[in-house]
Amino acid sequence: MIRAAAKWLAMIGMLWAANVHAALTIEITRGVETGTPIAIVPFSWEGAVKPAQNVSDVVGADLTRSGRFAVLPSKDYVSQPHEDKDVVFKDWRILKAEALVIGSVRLVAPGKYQVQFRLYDVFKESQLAGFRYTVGPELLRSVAHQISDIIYQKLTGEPGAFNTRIAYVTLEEPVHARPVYKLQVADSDGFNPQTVVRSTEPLLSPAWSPDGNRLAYVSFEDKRSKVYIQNVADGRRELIAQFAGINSAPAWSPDGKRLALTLSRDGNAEIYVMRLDTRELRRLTHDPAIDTEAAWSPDGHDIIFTSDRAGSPQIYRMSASGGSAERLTFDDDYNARASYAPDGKSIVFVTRQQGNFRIAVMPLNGGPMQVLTDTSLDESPSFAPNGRMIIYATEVRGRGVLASVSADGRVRQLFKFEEGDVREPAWSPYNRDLQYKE
Amino acid sequence: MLTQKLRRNPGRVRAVFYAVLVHVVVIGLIVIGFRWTSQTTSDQKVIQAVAVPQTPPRKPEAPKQPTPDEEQARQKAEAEKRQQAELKKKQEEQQRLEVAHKKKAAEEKAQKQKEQEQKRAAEVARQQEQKRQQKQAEQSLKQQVEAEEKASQDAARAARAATVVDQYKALIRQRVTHSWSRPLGSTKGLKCVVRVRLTPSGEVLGATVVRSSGNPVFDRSVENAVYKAEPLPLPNDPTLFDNFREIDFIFDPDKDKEANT
Amino acid sequence: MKNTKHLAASLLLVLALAGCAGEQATKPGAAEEKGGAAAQTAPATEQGAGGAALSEQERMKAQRQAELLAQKRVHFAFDSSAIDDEARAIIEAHAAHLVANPSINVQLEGNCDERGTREYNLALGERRAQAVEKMMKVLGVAGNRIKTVSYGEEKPLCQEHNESCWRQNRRVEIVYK
Repeated sequence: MIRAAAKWLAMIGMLWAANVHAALTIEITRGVETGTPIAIVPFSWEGAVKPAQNVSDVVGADLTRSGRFAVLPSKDYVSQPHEDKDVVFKDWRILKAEALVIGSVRLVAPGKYQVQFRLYDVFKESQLAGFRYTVGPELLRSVAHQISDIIYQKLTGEPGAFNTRIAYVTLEEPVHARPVYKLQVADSDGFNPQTVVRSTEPLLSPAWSPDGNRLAYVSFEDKRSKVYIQNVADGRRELIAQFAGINSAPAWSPDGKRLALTLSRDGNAEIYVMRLDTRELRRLTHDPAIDTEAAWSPDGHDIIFTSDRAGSPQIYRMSASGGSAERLTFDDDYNARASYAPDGKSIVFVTRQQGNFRIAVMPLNGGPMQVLTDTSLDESPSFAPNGRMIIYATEVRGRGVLASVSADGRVRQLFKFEEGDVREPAWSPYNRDLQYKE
Repeated sequence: MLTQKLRRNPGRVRAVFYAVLVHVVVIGLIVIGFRWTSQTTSDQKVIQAVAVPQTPPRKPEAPKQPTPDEEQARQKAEAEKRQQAELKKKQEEQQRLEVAHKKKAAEEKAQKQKEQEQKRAAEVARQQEQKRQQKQAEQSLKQQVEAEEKASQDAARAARAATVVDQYKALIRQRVTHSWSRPLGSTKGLKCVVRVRLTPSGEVLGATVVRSSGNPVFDRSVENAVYKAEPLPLPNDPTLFDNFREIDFIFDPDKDKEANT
Repeated sequence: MKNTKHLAASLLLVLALAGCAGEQATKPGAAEEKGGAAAQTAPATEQGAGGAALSEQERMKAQRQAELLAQKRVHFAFDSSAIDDEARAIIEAHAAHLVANPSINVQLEGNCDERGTREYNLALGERRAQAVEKMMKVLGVAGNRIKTVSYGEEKPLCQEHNESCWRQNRRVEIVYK
C-alpha cells in the first residue's frame, strides 16, 4: 500500500517537474545551404511600349548571382500580386518562401517610367521595404540594381554591391593585324560594356575617381608609359603625367583632389602625390628600391605601397604626407599590389606561395594573412564598395579572365566575357544617380 | 567739378541714378537666375526614391487586425482559456494515472493472494498424487510466468513510449533541419533558442525567441525554419502529446560535427 | 664610314634573321661565310694594314664579336636585374660597337615575364634597362646616346606558362636608332 502510494507520488512529481519548463529540447546544428528562398513576382507593366529592361528579371539575376538566395520559379506561384492589397501571405507560406517581392512599372509620361516595389517578410506578414522611382529609360537598369541592393541589405544585414560598375582592360590579338587594347566599363553583372579607350598599345591600371565619374589609367600610345584622366560619360581626357621614365600606378585620394603616382623621373621608381588643381608634385619615397602601387586609406591619412627595399616586394605603410614607412607583410617572399577594404580595417593584395600568385587579405590589427584563392596566376585584386567581394584577374585554360571571391573566401565566381584576354579589373564606387533614404 | 555739373542738371542726375539702378537690378537678376539654375541642375542629377510605407491593416478582415487593447484583451482571454484547458487536462491526466495506479495496485494485491492460494492447493495436491502435484506446479509456474509477462509488458509499454518519443524527436529534428535556410556567411558563435508551442496536429501555435543570437538575420532565419517545417510530425497516440506540446529548438551551428568555417 | 655602316647593317640583318628562331643560338656556318666581311665591323684598330692575313686569333675574336653583336637581347633571372656573364659579354660587344660608331644611338627596352604584378614589373623592367645602361656608360658610351624605356610584362615574346617562355621574356632589348 505504501509502495503504491510512493510510486503514485513519484509519478505526480515527475509530471509536475516536466511541466515547469519545456518538455523537450531539440538541437539543430545544420541547415540547407541553398540560400534564403525568395519569391519575386514579375513586375506588372502598364504602357504602350514595353521598356527594354525587365526590372524584376534583373533583380532575380542579381540575387541569384550573389549566391545567398534561392529565387523560387514564378511558374510555381499560386498568385501574382502587383499591389499590396492583393498579397495573400498564405500563398507564399505554402511555397516556403521566406521573403516576397512585388512591383510595377508604369509609363507615366513620354520617356518617364515609374517603378515601385515592396519587399515582405512572409512569415511575419510585414513589409520590410518599399520605394518608388521616377526615371528615364536609361536608368531602369540602375533602378533594378538598387532594388537588389535594398533587398540584399534587408535580408542579409549586409550592403549589396549591385548598383556599381567595373572597369577592365581587354586585349585581342588578331592574326596578321595589330593587337587591340580596350579599356571598358560595364555594369557589375557584365552587362552593357562600353569602350572608354581603344589603342594598339598597352593600357593598364584603370582607377576610378571617388565620385565614379572619371578613370585614371596608364597608356603606352606614345610608346612609353603616360598617365591620363578621362571622363567616363563624355570621353574628355587630360594628360596628367609624362615625365621622363615611368609614369604609372595612379591612385585617387578619397577626396578626389590628389593622385598618387609612380614616377621614375628622379632616377628610379618612387611614389609621388600630385595635386590635381595645381599639378604640384610632392615626392613621398626616397629609396633606391622600387616603390610603387600606392593605395590610399579610406580616411585619407595613410598610403600603403609595394617596395623591395628589403630585398623582395613587400607591402609598406606610410603617412600620406610621406615620412618613414612601416613594413606590413612578413610571410612569403613576394607581396604586392595592396589596397584597403572600404572600412579601412584590412587590406587585399597579391602574395606568392611556392611560386603561385594568389589573392590574400590581412587585417591591419596584426592578425594573420588569409589566402583566398588556390590558383597560380592571380593579380589585380579590387574590393567591391560593400567590402564583401573582391574582383581579380586570373587565368583559365591559358586565357585571362576575371573572377570574384567573397572576402571570407567562401564563394568564388567567374565572370563571362567574349573572346580575348581580360585583365586589370577595378570595381567602381556606388553609382550615385539614385538615392534612397530609410 | 562734377558735382557742380550735376547740380546744374538735375535731370541728368536722375537719369544716371535710374541707369545705375537698372544695371544693378539686371545684374542681380542674372546672379539669382544663375544660382537658381545651377541648384535645379544639381537636384536633377540625383534621383531620390520615394518611400512607400507599409499599408495600414485592412479593416474588413476583423479577426486579423483588432485594436491593440482589444487584441491584448483577446489574447489575455485566450491565454486564460488555454491555461484553464491545460490545467483541466493536467488534472484529468493525473486522475487517470491515479485510477490506473490504484487499479494496478489492486491487481497486484489480487495477484498475490491468488498465488498464495495456489501454492497451498498445490501443496495439498502434492500430498495426494505426484502427477497432480506436477500439474499443479506446472499450473502455478505458468501463472507466475504470465504475471511476469504482464509486468514486463507494462514496462515495455512505458519503454516503447519513450522510444516513440525519441523517434518523433528525430523526425522533427530532420524536418526542421531541412527547412532551415542557414544564412550563408560566417555563423560562428551564433546560437539561438526558439520556444515553440504546437497543436496536436503539429501546427505552430506560437514561436518565441527565448535566447537571441544577437544577429537579427540569424534569428529570423531560425524562426522561419520552424514555420516552414509545419506541420511537424507528431505521434498518433494522444497520451504522448504532452512531450511535444512545447519544444525548445536550440540552433547551434558551431556544434555541427562535420566542421564548417 | 658610310659603306661600312651599310654593310654592317645588312650583315647584322642577315645574322639577326639567321638567329630568328627565338633561340640565342649563333650560327657558326653563316658567320664563317661572312667571316671576311665581318672582320670589317671589328674595331678600327684591328684592321691594321689592309686585313690581308689576319691571325687566327684575331679572326676568332672578330667572329665572336659579330656573334655577340647579333644578340639583341640580354636575359635575366626571375625578379632580378643582375647581369650575368653571358649578358655581360653581349653588352660589352654592343658598347664597343657604339663607341666605334658615335653617330648611332641606342634604346634599351626593359621587359619581364608575366608573373607578379604589372606595375611592379614596369619598374623591374626599367631597373633591368638601367642596369644595362649603367654598364654601357662604364664602358664608355655617352649617357645622352642611351634611352631607356620599360614595357613591364606588356610585350612578351611568347605566351606559354613555363620557365622556358618566361626566361625568354625576362629581357632587355637593344634597339639601335
